Amino acid sequence: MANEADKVTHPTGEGACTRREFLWRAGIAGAAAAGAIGLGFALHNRPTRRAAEDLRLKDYRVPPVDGPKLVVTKGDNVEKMLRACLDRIGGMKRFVKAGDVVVLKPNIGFASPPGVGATTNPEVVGAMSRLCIEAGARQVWVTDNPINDPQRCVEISGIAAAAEANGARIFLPRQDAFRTVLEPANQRLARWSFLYGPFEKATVVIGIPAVKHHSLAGATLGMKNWYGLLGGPRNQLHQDINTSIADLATLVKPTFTVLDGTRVLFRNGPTGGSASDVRVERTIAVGLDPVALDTYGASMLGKKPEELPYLAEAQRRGLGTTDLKAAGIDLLGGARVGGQG
Amino acid sequence: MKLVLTRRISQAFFLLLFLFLLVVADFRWAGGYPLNLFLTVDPLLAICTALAAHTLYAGMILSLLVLVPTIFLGRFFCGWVCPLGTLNQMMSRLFASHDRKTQVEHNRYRPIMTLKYYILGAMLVLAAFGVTQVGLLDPISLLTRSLAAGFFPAAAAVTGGYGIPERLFVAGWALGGMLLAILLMNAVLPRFYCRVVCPLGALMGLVARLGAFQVFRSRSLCIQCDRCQALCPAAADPQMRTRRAECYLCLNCREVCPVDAISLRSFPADHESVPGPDLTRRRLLVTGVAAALSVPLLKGSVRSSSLPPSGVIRPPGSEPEGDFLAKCVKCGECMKVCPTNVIQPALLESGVEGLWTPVMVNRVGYCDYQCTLCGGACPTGAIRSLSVEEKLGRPPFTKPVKIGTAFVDRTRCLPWAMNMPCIVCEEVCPVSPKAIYIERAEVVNSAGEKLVLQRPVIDPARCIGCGLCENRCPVFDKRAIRVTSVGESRSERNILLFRDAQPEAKPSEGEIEG
Repeated sequence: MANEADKVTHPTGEGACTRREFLWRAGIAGAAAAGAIGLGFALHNRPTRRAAEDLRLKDYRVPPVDGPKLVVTKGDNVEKMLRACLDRIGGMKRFVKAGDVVVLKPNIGFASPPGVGATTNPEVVGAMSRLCIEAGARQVWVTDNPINDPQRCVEISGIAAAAEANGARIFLPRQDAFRTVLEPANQRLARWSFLYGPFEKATVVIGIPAVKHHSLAGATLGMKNWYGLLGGPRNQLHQDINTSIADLATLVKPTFTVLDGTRVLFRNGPTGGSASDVRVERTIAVGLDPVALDTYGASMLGKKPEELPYLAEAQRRGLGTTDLKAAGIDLLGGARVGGQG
Repeated sequence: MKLVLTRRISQAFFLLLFLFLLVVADFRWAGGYPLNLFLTVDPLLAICTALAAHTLYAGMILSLLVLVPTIFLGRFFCGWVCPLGTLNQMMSRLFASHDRKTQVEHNRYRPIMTLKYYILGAMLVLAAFGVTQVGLLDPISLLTRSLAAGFFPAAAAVTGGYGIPERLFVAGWALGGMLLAILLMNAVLPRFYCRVVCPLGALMGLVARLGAFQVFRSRSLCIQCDRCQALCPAAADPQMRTRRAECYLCLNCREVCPVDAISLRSFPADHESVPGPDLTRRRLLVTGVAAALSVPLLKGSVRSSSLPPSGVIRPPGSEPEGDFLAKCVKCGECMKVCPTNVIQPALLESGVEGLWTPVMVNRVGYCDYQCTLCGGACPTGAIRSLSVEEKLGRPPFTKPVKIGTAFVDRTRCLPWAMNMPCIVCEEVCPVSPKAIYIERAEVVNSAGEKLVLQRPVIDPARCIGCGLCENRCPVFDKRAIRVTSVGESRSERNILLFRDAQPEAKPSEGEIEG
């Protein structure tokens, strides 16, 4: 049955909207429909997890030349000692050039004062910062992802003050500074969370480890120092520590490494906690061969390379040699292989 | 005119000061600031902790600086200083009606406003019997706790933590939610919490009886226009006989009166104002009896002070549990200032009286070896302020402060239960010599390979219970090494080791030595 109202609106044009109104309303309806359809298709089956990006660390080493791969010296003036060592392998200018962005990685793992020996001597960090700036670096970052709270660590260890007094800046770990880094040559650390922030623009990377006893690994020296750049569940590395340390040295190939042997934490490491756990050795070593450097560091703790299985694994992978003579070791200023004991 | 402006500036100043002190209560910035200033000068917290613990801790004597002027001036604290009062007032303005009749209706005195006096009474009686619960409702304590454990972590969660330390607190939503509810109640009645609940306001109200300066309305000049009634935040009835116990001295009435009928007057006659609140003897009796009898009910239950729960690890420097519960006002300053976020608000682990008192949760954080910030932040001395020497047992102290002991769960520990290497716990143990030492064992793993495993063993004499081991154990869900409270220095009963138990015994007179 036809409705009276229908007869009224249609034929005579009553109740119809104006053309302008029609265009406007039709337009809005069309836009709403298009928006809904577009949004629907855009979201359709969108993956909820983003695929991992292919992020790799650069190889920061400089081309090798003939000569010693490891220089060791003893003394009291840290800056003089560093210069003496570096001069034997080409001088700072071989490694740091004008405009470089340098990342210094000391051991800032614990919120302990320098005398405890659980962290790198702040004087060494300060001197290295100064040397980098002198060589023309445009930015020097000092960084670590410590065990204790980062702010407390950089302050209590004295490293923040030393770095900032010498022109460097501290890069504290933040959640958004971590990225997943790939290293296909690795077994355990083929894909791991890494404090990538300071590495974004880095052209030079220098490790500055301390020399410490470590029950599980035997010792914590240059290769294990890169642990401090890891994020994620890194407390799992201990389940396969020797492979993991070799993986760390495969992952991070620094320009060179400075071994801080000014103080040695020879027992109760890596935390220490008593002055009687520390021995003053007044030694600094600069190495281009990470395995040789760690072999020397182990000797300062009275350990032979056979006692640290990770060294053999690293040597097997071609990262260096435990044979100090083959590596070419230069002993200056009364330095010897082996600690004072 | 000028006085109301001064009052607003004062409110803004104290609110900003309060927020500033709370923001800098952070291990990076705390040095030198009187972090717990507002808690320290809070007379209600001073009176209750003094009743419960029979001592007035350190700076809390400064609460006299608030209490004594209140005796003479009235509730200026509520109108000019209290940060929660200021927040409530701001929210009330936000929700305020613009119709004068509705405003007058909202600001009329209601009998429910006597509730806060009974709450005060209950709190005082409980405190007199050694049970301190006043911190749950005291405005300064409440605001500190709700912001520190609720709102600030919320801000960090939303902003991704830039500049704001990322903190997580157990049931932080409830702590923040309490403040949110209070702020929203201003939509029901202006300054609802201040008028109906606040026990500090009630204390001020009782003490303001003597009031030297009070708001006085001249009957001859007053034209009953209701303007003052519409703007009174305290519902103190300025157009009638002003209620001295409610008036905040905000002076809105004085400013808005078109005929200048309202003035500040010293010692107005009693018949011109209502000096005290309308408390009936009967209701007071009910309150007092209920509070008094609930204490024996509490004492007849298992309490954390008599039977220490293993999961209740208190911050280093904490008083023995009975004294602790008498002094702790649940303000949350310790939680705010702790650098590792290990201090968490308890739920019922230490009993109903321990709600929102601080406990260590090692899955979240751990006690930083060199840190003593919690004791420094505590306003009541529930956590004593320790020097680093005292905490670590360095000279002149002989033994470190222990807050518990770690136990290796050999059914979950990787080297003990699964023939897998680990010893992260030994690695991170901060004491020297370490409280975790190594036992070697030759095992054959699932691949048939022989291994020499290093297995962790605790030396309970060295362990201080800091929890770094538990915090770093890779068995992430239920850690394979867990700290419990036994061995804590502050307890005489909750101890593990024989030789630590007895103090040096002195023979009494007449007894034969040896």
